[in-house]
Amino acid sequence: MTKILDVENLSISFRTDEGLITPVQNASFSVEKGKTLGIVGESGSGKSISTKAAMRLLPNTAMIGEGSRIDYYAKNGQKIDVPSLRSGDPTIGRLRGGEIGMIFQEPMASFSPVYTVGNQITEAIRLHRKVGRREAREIAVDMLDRVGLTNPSQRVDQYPHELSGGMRQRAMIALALSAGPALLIADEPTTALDVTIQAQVLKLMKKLQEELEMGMIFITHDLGVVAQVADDVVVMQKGEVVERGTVRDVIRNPQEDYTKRLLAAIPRLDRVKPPAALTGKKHRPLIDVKNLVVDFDVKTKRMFRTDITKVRAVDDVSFTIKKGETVGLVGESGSGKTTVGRAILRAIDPPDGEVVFHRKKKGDIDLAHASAEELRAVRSKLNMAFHERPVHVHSLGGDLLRSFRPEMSLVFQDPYSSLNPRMTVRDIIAEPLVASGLMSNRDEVDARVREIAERCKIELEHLRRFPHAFSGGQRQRICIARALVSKPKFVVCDECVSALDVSIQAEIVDLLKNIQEEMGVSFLFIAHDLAVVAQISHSVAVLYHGKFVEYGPTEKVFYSPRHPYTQALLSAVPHPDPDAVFAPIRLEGGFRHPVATVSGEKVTLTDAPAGFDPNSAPVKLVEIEEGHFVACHYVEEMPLQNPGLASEISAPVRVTGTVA
Amino acid sequence: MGDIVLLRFTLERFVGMVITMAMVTVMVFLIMELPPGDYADRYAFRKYSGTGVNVTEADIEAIRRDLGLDKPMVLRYFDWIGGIVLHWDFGQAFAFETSVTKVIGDKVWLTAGILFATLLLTYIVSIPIGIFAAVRRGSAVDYGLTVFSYLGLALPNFLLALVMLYFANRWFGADIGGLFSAQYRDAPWSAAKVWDMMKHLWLPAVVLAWSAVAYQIQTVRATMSDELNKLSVTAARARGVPETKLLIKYPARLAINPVVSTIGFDVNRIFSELPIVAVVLGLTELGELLLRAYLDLDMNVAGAILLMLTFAIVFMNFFSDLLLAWLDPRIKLGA
Repeated sequence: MTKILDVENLSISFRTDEGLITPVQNASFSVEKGKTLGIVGESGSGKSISTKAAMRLLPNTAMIGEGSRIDYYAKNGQKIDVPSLRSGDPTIGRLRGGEIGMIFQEPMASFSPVYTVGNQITEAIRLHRKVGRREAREIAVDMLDRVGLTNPSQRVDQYPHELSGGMRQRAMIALALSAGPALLIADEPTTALDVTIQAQVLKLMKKLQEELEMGMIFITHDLGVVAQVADDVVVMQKGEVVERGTVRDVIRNPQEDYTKRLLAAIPRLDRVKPPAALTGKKHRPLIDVKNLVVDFDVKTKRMFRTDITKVRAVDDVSFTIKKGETVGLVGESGSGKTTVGRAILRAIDPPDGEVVFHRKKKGDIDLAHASAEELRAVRSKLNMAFHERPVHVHSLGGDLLRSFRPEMSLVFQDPYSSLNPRMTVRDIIAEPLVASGLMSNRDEVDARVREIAERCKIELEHLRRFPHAFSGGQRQRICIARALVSKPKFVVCDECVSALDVSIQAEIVDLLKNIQEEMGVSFLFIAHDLAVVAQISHSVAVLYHGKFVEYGPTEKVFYSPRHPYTQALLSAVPHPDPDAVFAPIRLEGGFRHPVATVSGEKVTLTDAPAGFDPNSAPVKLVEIEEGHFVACHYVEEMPLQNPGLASEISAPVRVTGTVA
Repeated sequence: MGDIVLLRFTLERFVGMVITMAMVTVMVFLIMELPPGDYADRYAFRKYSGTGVNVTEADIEAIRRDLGLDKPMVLRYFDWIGGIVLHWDFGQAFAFETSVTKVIGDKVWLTAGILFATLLLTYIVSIPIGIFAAVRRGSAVDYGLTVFSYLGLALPNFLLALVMLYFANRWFGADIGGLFSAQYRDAPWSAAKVWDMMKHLWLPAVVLAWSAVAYQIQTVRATMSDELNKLSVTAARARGVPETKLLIKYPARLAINPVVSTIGFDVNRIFSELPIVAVVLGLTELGELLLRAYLDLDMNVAGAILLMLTFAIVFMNFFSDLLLAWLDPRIKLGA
């Protein structure tokens, strides 16, 4: 076996204002030609930094410790002692890109927005290969073709923002490979991508690696991904390598406590037991969403006019959230999950549909059509837990939203930017109460804040501190406490655990479950991570292009999915098991809805016949068993709205599409 | 597709510029009408005061009729703007008893020269230094530049002008004030005269650029620091782009955005600082003339200068818009 990269006893320290910190200590790992090394660890484990050292990409303040060795074996057989290279040595330029290629987590940010994709790829080619401008362009087009971009000769002249996230990551792979490196370092390359896109990118990387006989370092926090791509694994914790071995040994038979804990914390779709669906009369509905529609205007600039087209973000969505229930909402980016959450809370005005909020004493109210005053009357009953840019929320009709906050809560995805650094934890949690005028007596507010803080397992002495003193998980607790302080009946959690490490993710999920049991609150849990959704949701809805394709009890939707899209989505999740078959279904040209035939009590799902145009007939949700709905094309002779339920389920639908 | 977008963008901004300029002419005209009394009053007062001649309302009325000042305001506006557009005629400057065009004369070009030289000097100095400071963030050089910046911002212009004048006198001889050496002052324009002007221009340019340089260094340093931390810069470095080329191609191109977008402001600011510096350095330029025209209520002169200045600013804004669109293609796409 020929080693390409050999790292031994690597220590890296940084001079900071607070003194010397050492994010990597005595780390050793090596990569062989044609093999993949997975480096696994949570945030702050030093997994990225140690590979950056091999490319001399560390900032000037970094110091490589004594006795650290990084040997790189170049394509021409030369052994390069990386730390000994002086800055400015041309070997560094050759190492970067020419010998070692690198791809990054954020496909959105890794291309410069002001140059075309082709400009940046040909730059890499011409730096490392003696070719002319035209030839470099041809190579770039060819690479884009190889990574599976359609119309590569057109794409090459496009700016990065004209490509989707998945396409950009493919283009980045094309860029990294265009100069013919012997080693590819992939730093969380699929973390920011949708699960189906991730599956395609993983397959692609694997394929290209074999074709080009490259070595690969795959840095990730996701053991499922590692299990699918890596040959060997190194587990890092706080800058040290705690365990190493073949991927099978480490995952099947972990030796170290940390690895065991890490493995245990990962929610596994193939093992999770989702909460049982809430059935029966005693579970009253809290919110009935009926035929909800949301449109967005999309502007296209032409020479003398601007065209405005309406894009339907949410299309005829209906479902029920029961008291004390968690409804999961899954789907890929752009499927409309966030918009559904916001429309329910009336942060966006839905042009059509109803959102009926059932109240015990004051009767039902339709949130979608309620006036500002009526909305004010329900405040403190509904809450949101938001995701990303909090700005959006504030820009949406101040008064209306302010009146709402207490009844509804938001928990943001990014616990770092959603807390005001100038407020104490106590003030942050108390804000919804005070800002809405729900409570003004200081003692009352204090008592409520303490009560909620205890529920959310925030230590009471921490209430006086400022947010910067806390870790991501602790901050997320604060966000949750803030969402719950007004004792809402309903909280929207929008990607609220996505930014957290797995071990902390597990804690927060447990916390939400406990709170639900104690306070009887209902959640709309929006997430792209199917396994987390399975852990917490009683029922789940799968969104595709603003429509529900499948909806029902979690155990039914996730463990006997009936719609081809749901099946494709689930098949794309990599399980942390090196022996599991990873055969993501790739739906070509969208997907075909199944056709339902109902005769008497029996619902039969069949493939739509070949050549069937999915746009020609309306798609409707058909209840194929109790509470389990699947989007189907009605077949004409089928009676509408069959009240009877299928007592006998026909054989599962054959999957339409091909295995990629 | 890309070309159409660029064409549309340019056209949009151009139309915007023309509309703005049209509105500016109206505003300048209104400002000219603002002081009590009109040109006829002031003309008569100036011509006959102290001469013992008794001027009656009827005399003034006659002057007014002669000059067409008795027409309604709207018509007078069109007379005024028509004269400028068609004949480059800004009317009469009563204080000088000649046409505004003559009074302004060469001063337009001298002022434009000073403004342009100052702008150029500001950007040539501040952009590279700002980039350098950002790259060496936290170093002694960086701190030194920061201290210089605060000094530059705190030091009043006229004081700097005096100090510079003193040193320039010692090092370059006495003939440093003004924009020309004695022998060229009233000579007709020639290559030698232009060269002589260049030799004098640097002093006011340095004085006027001083605070702008200090300010822009900090701007460039701040945006450059942000840009340097972008993942796209790391990504470019990871594909082996040599450091100097990398800095210019990626972060610097975006880091000068805020500088480019404020060219119009800079023109205005330099012009406002011009009179006091002009007084100290003995320059003849428009800023000082504008001040004098206001004091004399010589509104035709004031209006002409005001109009030229605002046109210059509006045009520079148009220019900076186009430059920005070239620097960052996302802007023209309206993203």
